[in-house]
Amino acid sequence: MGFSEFPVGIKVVEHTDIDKAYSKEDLVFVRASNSLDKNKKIIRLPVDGIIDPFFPKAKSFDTGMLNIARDNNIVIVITLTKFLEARGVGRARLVVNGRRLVNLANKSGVSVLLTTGAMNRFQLRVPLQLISLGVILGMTPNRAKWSLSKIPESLARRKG
Amino acid sequence: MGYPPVLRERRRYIAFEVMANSDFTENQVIQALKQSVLTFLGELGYADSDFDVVFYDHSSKQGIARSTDKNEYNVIAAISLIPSILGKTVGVKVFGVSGTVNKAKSKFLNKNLLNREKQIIER
Repeated sequence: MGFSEFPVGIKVVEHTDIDKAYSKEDLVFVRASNSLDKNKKIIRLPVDGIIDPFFPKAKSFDTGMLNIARDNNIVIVITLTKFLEARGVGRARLVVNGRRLVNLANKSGVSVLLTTGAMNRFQLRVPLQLISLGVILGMTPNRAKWSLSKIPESLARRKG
Repeated sequence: MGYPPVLRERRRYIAFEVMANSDFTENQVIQALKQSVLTFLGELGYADSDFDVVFYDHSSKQGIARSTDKNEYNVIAAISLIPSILGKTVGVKVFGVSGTVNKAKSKFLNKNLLNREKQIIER
């Protein structure tokens, strides 16, 4: 996330390696599973965020899960890479599920964080492009800006 | 019969750059951008957005696309979701959005590109 005033490490782990996720110094983000029960287990752990808890086919989130996330101060991370990799109907289903998740997160009061999730330089995008993704998913432009700036900052302050 | 100014839609000009290891012709890039917007927004969305590529410079890999102000975010998202052109991995970076072509060029695009354009005009 690149905040020089808050030197915080970031650790991203798969949902299968949750045991390795515990760290007091680093921000820990876990990639979601496509099962709702597994995702509920993940957000009960001392992690900071859950990455992409929506899949094109499976129902992997609900109100109960987001209420637990709100109580445990866990943010929902939405990455652009997931949309880049999908095609056609798969991408359309991702947008539908992403919109449902954002709406539910707004209603439940859970913070949503927008990132590129880039694995190489071609997947990097500028903030304006992430704001556009947020708008596509049903956020207002101001709320999308907030999820790019203030939410990462508050996460960094939490550990920094 | 003119077109009354009150009925004209306000346009937005989006400055972009194609990041790629390979070289693509102007036509290939324009077709890829149009195809991506058409796929993502559909025919109706494409019509609403009034999308077009105003110009693309092959050497600097930079260009300007056009949309209406109401569909600006949709078009930027559609452009951002181009993973490859002709099977080769690319990334499209959006510099910014402006209300006029000249402002978009002077504010966001490479100064070398502007100089080259001036030289072409002078010739």
